[in-house]
Amino acid sequence: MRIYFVKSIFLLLFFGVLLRLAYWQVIKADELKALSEKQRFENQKIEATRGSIYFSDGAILASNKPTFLLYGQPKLLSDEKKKKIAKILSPILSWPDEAKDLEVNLMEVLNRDLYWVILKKNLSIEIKKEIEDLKLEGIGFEVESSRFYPEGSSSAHLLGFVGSNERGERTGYFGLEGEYNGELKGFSGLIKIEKDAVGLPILIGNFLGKTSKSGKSLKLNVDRTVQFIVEQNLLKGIEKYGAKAASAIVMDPKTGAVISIASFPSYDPGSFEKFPKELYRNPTVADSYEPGSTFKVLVMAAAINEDLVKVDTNCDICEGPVEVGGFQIRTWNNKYLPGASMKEVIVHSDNTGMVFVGKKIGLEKMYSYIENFGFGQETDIDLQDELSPDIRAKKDWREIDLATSSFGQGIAVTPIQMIRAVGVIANGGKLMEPQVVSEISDENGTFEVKPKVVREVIKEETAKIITEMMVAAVDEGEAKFAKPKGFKIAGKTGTAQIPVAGHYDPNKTIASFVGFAPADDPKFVMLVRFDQPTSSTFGSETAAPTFFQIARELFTYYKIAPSE
Amino acid sequence: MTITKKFEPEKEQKVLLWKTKKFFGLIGFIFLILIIAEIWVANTLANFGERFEKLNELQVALKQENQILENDIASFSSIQNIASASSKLGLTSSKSVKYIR
Repeated sequence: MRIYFVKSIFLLLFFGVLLRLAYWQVIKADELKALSEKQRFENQKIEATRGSIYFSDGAILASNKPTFLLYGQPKLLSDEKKKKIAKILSPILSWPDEAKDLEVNLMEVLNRDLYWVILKKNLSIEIKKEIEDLKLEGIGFEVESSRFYPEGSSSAHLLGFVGSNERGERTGYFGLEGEYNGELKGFSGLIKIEKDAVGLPILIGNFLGKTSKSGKSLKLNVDRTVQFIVEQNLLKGIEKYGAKAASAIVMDPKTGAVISIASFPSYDPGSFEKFPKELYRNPTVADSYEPGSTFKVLVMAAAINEDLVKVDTNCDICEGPVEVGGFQIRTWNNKYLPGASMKEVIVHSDNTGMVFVGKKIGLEKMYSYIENFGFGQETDIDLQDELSPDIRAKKDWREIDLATSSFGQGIAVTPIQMIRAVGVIANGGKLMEPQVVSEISDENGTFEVKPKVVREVIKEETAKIITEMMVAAVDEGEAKFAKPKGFKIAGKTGTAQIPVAGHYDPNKTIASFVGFAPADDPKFVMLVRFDQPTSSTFGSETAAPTFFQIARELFTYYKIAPSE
Repeated sequence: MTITKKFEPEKEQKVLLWKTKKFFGLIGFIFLILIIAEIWVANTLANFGERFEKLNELQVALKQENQILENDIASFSSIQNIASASSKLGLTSSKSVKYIR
């Protein structure tokens, strides 16, 4: 009997062991396998290297630099050691006058009930080496990467910046960084490595996962010398003319390649968070303004293209102020040229003469040309923050709107729209798409961005006629004193008043000058704009001299000899 | 006259057996060598983990150094730096450029 009892006990025990084994090996199998893999395998996220951005000559405009995150492990440190670390590190990690505050801050962080705390981010390799030489316990470094701008704050609006999104991932915002974020960021990799008991990789173990793919690099049409010339002259102009802001664009009219794009006030893309958010947008593509007299050449081009007027057509309403829809339209200097020819209308920037031209064109054709010159629609420039002000619906246009739009008032444009439209005249009538990037490359090859013709707006002959009118406007107009001698430059000044609470403020203007050179075979088309200059409100006394100074330097840079 | 070859089955069987044994022996020997080689390679590689980690760290450090040097070159050759350096040297832009025709 006893033997059966013992046998039963053993059988029960055996059965119990069997059940336990089944529990661990069948029911809990997946969980245990996962735990074992977690212990043996280590997942490493391999961050992709963000693509670099280069000027047209291959010089770096934006690349990456290794930076370091300094961390502490409070649980491994005694109070004495925490005090020592805070005291030693604070003068290294801050300016002398901030060291005491940082010491208090570091102590507070190190006293937290955590295993791992961040002590400082974005440390340079020199600071890292200095700290490593101190051989302090309980601290360490993690490698990070941040953007590096060798040209400093130059081209900030063109570049945009790299910040963090809501998931903490590095993301490009504004300008090229925003527009090409998908290409630049690349793809992160994830590698699963089998490790031994001390955490070292086992070479004959398993390596799983995928490697990271670096972001693509961008080569720009922007020429760094031209960019420098433009930026320096804009800064000088802001100071000289007491302007609130300034911007300029230089473009190759034949290809639409953007050679330079600059605006001030600006910000530093390397420390964008220290600047007001209002500065982030690129005014050359996101700010709308009334173009004023610079618009006259486009309206005149439309009228000549439609054979409605000729160069020598005489204005029959130019002897004095013109009444339109109950409003009186005057010239900018209240001087009138009875019977002025169309060339004289452009040379003297005669508003009454443009009303005459506007009436000849009529609403239908005027509206059609405004659209064909690319207004009321985005230019598709490859910068993230572009916007386009709407053109009032055709049915809402009154007689006065047609009259004022003929001399560039009551219509809103962006600087990039304006330069592209004037580029039509410089390019024999063809509207081009403005392009900042010329090549996108990665390890698989290079994609070349080809120039894109959008449409033909005016005939080549019309473009030639308007070019001659613009050359005369430069040679005989208000800004002739500043023109570089011997060069044939086509251009037009513009002084637009700023609408404030339903009326125009006579003391606040946007002074601009748009033109191209050499007029017979244009190398560049350029727009210079000053917002609210105080030394003079006129484009001929502010924007035009800056335009000519930039042009003078560009002639030397491009080795263009005077032709006259 | 008919010539008949003397049939010697026992001798032939012995030779075949010897050849088979030799063949399997050789296979076994190669197998043994391979096992030893695998053990040796596995053992050596298992001990290379530390060296591999160090090489990895060295690679990362060299890449970082390379990037820093590239950035230094870019900083020194930046147009802002060149303009500032040339200004310190007293170089100014030419006011009038003459062209020889």
